[in-house]
Amino acid sequence: MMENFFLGAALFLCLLVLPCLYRAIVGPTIIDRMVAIGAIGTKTLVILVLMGFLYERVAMFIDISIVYALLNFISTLAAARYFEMKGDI
Amino acid sequence: MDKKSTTYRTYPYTPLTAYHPIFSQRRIEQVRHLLLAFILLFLFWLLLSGHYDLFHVSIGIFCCMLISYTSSDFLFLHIGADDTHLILPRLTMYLPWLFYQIMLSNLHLVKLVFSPISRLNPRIIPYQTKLTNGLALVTFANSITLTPGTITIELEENTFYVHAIDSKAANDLLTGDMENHIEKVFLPIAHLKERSKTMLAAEANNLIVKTVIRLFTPFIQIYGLYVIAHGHYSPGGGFQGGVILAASVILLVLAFGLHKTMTKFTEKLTVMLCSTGVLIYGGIGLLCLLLGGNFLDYQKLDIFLKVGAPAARSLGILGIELGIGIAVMACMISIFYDIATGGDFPEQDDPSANDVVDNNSSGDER
Repeated sequence: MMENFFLGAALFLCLLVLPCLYRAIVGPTIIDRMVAIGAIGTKTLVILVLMGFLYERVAMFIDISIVYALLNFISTLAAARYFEMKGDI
Repeated sequence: MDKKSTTYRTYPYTPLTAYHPIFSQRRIEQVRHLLLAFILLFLFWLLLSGHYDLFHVSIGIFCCMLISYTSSDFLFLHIGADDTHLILPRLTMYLPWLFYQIMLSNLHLVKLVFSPISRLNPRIIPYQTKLTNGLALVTFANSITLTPGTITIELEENTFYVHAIDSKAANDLLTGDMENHIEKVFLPIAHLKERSKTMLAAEANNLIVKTVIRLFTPFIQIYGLYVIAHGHYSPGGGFQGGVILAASVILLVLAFGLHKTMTKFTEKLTVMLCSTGVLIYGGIGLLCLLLGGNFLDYQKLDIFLKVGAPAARSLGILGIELGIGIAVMACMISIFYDIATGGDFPEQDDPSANDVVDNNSSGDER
């Protein structure tokens, strides 16, 4: 029962990634793309934890998702910094 | 330290401070910050680790001591108020109220989304705040952003620029209810500025990014060390842990600028750590070779360690992971420095060349 719920939630989140992907590809400005990528990263993080529940190895997948969150944070920040400084870090 | 018990003391009480600088007020504060940082980091380690045997806990204690020694000033800036330790419990009391507010504005937003006629009236409102402390300002800005309907766009001196989705969201903020709650949380220091003279000092521009990264860095470093130390149970190991450690330094560069970070984490240190890591790796490998085994044949180390072959293998792998972690961290930072400077690195002795990064943080200079 619980497994089906997690599977459904993960699939639904995968579907929700698609609109963000549309914005990331089409998005008229760079900022649109950055925000879209950030949103996709956050969804991926939740999907990773749900996968951990499905494979019954939550401890392992939580470690991975923490690193993923960290990298997501750094990439958004680095991109923001890059555009704020006009191409210089 | 009870004054009543020292009845023989007839002369006026002289504080220990007067005798030796080791007992000065500032030093006592530093030691308290060190202990607090150690306790926080060790709790984080225990939360992550999941292995509570003597070996892993002692590794944890060692790592937390190392990080709290190097980065305790990241967590606690010198402020000059005594009862700052009350902030943490009061912050936990504040969170339920914040969650209640988030729920209320969520309901309001749901109503807006499903209403047949559009009642959106987005606007940007300036909000003057009476808070001056960096931590309080950051907490306030993040609370505004967490509440659906309002987003902090910019923080200038003590004016927030907030994007509100309709008039109710704006009015909820303008009542100042949230600000009063945060002022209560940070009461002893809410109107004090940090006195730190290091690069961590809260400055007007990028205050939010700087404060958040300052608070995150020690925990990221602990996480990197945890990944290195638990490489044989969970995903990760020397390479991944090294990259996470390097990421913490890269974050510092992003927040505080290249030059300020390079004065703290110099290129010389990078090169030294890089070769130390390779030395540890090659040293353990060659030691096994000298003891009559193959390269990296860890069980031969048992001749020294005398703990049995399996434990010797485990320790040997840990040593290797540590060497790899240090080398990878130093290499990543070195590569990042080289890319960020584009090869033409300003000489450290020439102060005029170093100001390029700092002055341009407003972004409209060139």
